[in-house]
This record gives sequence, structure tokens and C-alpha cells, in this order.
Amino acid sequence: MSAQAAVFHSGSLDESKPGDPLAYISASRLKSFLTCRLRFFYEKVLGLKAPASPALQIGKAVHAGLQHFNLARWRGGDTSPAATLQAYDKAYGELEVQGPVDYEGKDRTECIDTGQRVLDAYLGSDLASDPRRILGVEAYLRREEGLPLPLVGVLDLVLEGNVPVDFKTVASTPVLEDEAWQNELQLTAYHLLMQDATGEEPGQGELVYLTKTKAPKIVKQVLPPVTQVQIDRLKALIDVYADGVSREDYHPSPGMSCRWCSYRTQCAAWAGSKVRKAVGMAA
Amino acid sequence: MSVNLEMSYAKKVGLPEYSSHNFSVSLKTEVARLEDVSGEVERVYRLLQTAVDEQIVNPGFVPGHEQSAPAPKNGVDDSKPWKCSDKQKALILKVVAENKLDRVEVEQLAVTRFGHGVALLNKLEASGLIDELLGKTGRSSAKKAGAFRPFEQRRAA
Repeated sequence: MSAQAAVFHSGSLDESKPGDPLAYISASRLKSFLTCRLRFFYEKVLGLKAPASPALQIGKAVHAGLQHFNLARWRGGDTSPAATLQAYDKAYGELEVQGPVDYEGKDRTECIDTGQRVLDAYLGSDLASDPRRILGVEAYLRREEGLPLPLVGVLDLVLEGNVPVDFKTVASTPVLEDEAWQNELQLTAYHLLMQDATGEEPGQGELVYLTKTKAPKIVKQVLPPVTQVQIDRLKALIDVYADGVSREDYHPSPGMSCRWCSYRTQCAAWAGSKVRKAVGMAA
Repeated sequence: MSVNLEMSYAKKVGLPEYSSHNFSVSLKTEVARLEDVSGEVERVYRLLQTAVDEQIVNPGFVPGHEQSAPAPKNGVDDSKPWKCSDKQKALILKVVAENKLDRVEVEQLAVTRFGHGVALLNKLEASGLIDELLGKTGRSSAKKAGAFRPFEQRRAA
């Protein structure tokens, strides 16, 4: 099976199953590794399942709705709100079958309604009728050269001018400066992928935020052009990843992110190099 | 005041073996008033389209139809350079072969979606084509989006 057929599944990189962490690098893998190596080990290397949060559940289902809408625009399918919401509902149900959702006391119906409101807001916005030609939807790209590991990414949307667009569902109105910082690695990775895939200089990346507020807002952010420093920085961090993974250096990074980490039970059993034994005990 | 108009009409048509041919006709004309532009454009469009259509039905040399050269295995010339990666090329050929897809239809799809034939698709475009082919053959999420007519399977020889 080819790389694309193997890792491209349901509109995203299928990183839910255990996999060789040196087979390729993605922005998701890199960010997970840099946030906490032990969490990365549990989640991406061992593929330990953790219940999805409501935010993740809604985000993935909204993503599926957007995928349907943009594919339909591109390929001449049904772009109606009804068809888009149907795709959303279907994805929501399928995701629940694939893995449990920890609703944390939140009402499931309210969560479903939130996603629907967000999609409705997008479909009613100017961005839904962006006049730029669509060049790709859920575009799987893989760059083999110039990096210690193949770089892989699935771009939500690519518009005329080789502009990569990524959709983000967020809880509140985004602080754009913070978001640009948070998403720098991802957009720099997309820049490298687009450069390789088209042989041309990519356009400036765009982030589209869909806020899950009571009256959802759609905010577009055009990021500054990717700089050589950002590219060098990404490459250096990929080096750190390749080196750390090669040495199986997976240690915890206690900090703020522990508050919403699903692997605290396993993490508590970690004791230096006995990581694998600890996982076995926890399981 | 006269208004100069420059118009061209181009059409690209897919041919067997992932090839294609295209033809365009350009024309310069002049109208006296701005109000005449719309009508003149409509007239010239019809004229150019007819001219192109009358000629493009003659494809001339068609790869795979040569009498002297032996036909490559499976009718696909794998030695022809493609712009996408080798892996993408292999996957496209595999999906086409395994699902007995009509190669002319696949070529036409590439031209419709990306403006050029399969061999000229860059990696981004090839990725889009692969996803659509996988969707049409029931192997990816694209099928979930519905509304897309699956390819008819090519008849077995």
C-alpha cells in the first residue's frame, strides 16, 4: 500500500494507531513531541486510546463538514447547508463509534448544536464564497528531500496562489498574535510541503477560526510570509525530534499541559528508563 | 473613441495514454463604443469556440496508436516522465489498473480539475487526483461527501 493510501484516512493523517515514529514527521507529531515526550510516546508511538474531549469531538466533526463543503465546491457536488450539516452529523456519529467521548458533564445535544451553529456561521460568511480557485482539499503532501525524515501533512484547503488554509475551531475569539505563534510550526511545515509539491513559492498561509461562542464568529488571519529563520528553526526542531526518538528519549515535561492530559495515570508510573514496564503496569 | 478588444479561446482535450492536446485561437477586434463590448464579446466567443471545436476533433498523432512501435505492457508508457513523485505515479497507475478505470476518463478528469493531463500534474494536483480516484473507487473519505459519480469500470479486454 502506498504512503498516501496508508496514512491518509478520513481527511486527516491517521496517527491514532501505533506507528514507527521515524517513518515520517508531521506538524502534529512534532508539536506533540515538543510539548511532552512521554505523552507523545503514549499517544503516537504506543497508540494508547484516550477519550476524546468535547472540543476535539466537535472540532473533528466540523472539520468533516467543511471538508464536504469544500470538496463539493471543487468537484461540483451538493454545497447546500443541509448537505454540509448532514456530513457533519454523520461524522459526529462515526467518531463516537470509533472512540468514546468524555463529555465532562456537558450535554451531548448541546455539543452537537454548537458544531452546527459554527458551520452555519461559516456557510453564511464571505469565506464560504471565496472567489479564489480551489487547488486542493485535504491535500496529502509528502516531502522526501532536504530533511532528516520525510515531512508529511494534510492541508485543509489550498487556494489559488498556492495559499494553504487551515481551519481552527476555537472556544473564544482568538488573540491573533498568540495564534500565529502557536501555529508557526504547522504553517512553516505547510510552506515546505507546498514548495516541494508545486515547485513554486507558496502564498502566505491563512488560518480561519470558527469560534464556538453563542453567536459564532468566523475570523480569517493572513499570516506573514514564512521567513528563512522559521524554516531553519523547523528543521532544527525536526533534528531534535529525530535524535530524541532514535534514542527513545521519552521523559515527562510537567507543566500547564498536564491539566488536560489524558495520560496522567500512565505518566505517574513512569520512572526513568523503566518507561515501558511502567506502561505495562498501568495497562 | 474606439475600444480595442483582444480575445482568445483555448480548449484542452484528454487523449489516451495520459496525453492531451490543446488548441487556441486569438483574435483582435475593435468596437466604437463601450456599450458594444458585451455584444461583440458574445459574437467573438461563439466564433472562436466554433473554430476551435472544428479543428480539435483531429487529434493527429495519438500515443498508443502507433503502428510501428510495440505497445507497452498494459498500454501505459511508464517510461514517460511525470511531474509528480514516483510513488504518486505508481499509485495512480495501480488504482487505474486494479479498478479497471477508463484511462481516457481519468485523463479527462485531470484536465477538467487541474487544466492539464495526468503526466503534467504536480505533487499537489496528483494528490488531489489520487484522493478523487480513491473516493470514486470507494477507498477513501471522499466518497463520504457523496454526490460524486463513480467511474464506470472499464470493460475487461
